[in-house]
Amino acid sequence: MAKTFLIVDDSASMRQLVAFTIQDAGYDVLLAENGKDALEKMSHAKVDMVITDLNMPEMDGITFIRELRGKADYKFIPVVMLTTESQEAKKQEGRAAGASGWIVKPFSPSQLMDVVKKFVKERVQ
Amino acid sequence: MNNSLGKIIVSLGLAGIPILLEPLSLRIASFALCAGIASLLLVQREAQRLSAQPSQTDAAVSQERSDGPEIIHALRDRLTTRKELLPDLADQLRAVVRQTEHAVLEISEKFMNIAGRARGQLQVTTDIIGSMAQDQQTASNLDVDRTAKAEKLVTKLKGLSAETDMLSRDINGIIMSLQFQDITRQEIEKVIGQISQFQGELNDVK
Repeated sequence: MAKTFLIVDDSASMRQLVAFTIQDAGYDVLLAENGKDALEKMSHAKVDMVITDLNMPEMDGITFIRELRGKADYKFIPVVMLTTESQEAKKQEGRAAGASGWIVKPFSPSQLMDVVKKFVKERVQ
Repeated sequence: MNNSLGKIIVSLGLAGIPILLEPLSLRIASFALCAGIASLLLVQREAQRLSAQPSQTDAAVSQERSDGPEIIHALRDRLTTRKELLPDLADQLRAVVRQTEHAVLEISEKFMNIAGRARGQLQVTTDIIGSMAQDQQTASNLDVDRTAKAEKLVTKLKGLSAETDMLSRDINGIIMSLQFQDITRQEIEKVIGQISQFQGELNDVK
């Protein structure tokens, strides 16, 4: 069964572009507009990996990861932040919240897939 | 001031008298005395001029002070006018963000359809030519003509493979380019936030 990715971004075009790249590699995707929406979707479906933006309305990426890490089912799920922010302070904040990886926009599909495959492989092992 | 100038002229005039006096020592002493008086008067005149300056400055300051409320009033009027433009500016920026987001969404939807179809067709063609080449190679041991056909198909297959690589590179490039709308949007949103903050600060100015 194909693994399911949750893509969280307030930009519809970004969600589409990430989904296109992930689906192209043969994975399933779920989409969410912000952290709150993502938590709601994750309560109804099993997700294997999360790719999330940082700056979003309602609930930002950092808060979302903190909330996620508080749930027993998703304590160890890989969460990659895909964001325009590249400052070290923000990355540290993300790591402290529980982010597993960090990709700065604009991403290249091959770069995204390298990171995705690395985490998927780790999960299988 | 004119009085002082008169005194200086008189003193300098007196300084000429010693020329008529005798002997030479008296002439020199008288000249020195008159020149000293003239110098003292010059110093006094300069001191008066300098002491007059602060009073003029004070006058200018007091004039400015009396103009102060008017200037502040004018500045406040100008700020009020400009302040009213800020929400419009923020709204216009939001509209630009919405329009570009909508446009990029349409472009990316169409692009994905095209990319998906192109990839699919390339894959189907590659598969067909691949299986044909395999058939020709299997049967080519006894047939020279078929060997040539198989070689042609393999060459075509290589060409298709290069096309697929090029298509993948183009798709990657387009995906990266389309993300700049989102990057710009986030920068504009920061500017909108700062405009709102500035507007709030202006509202606090009484």
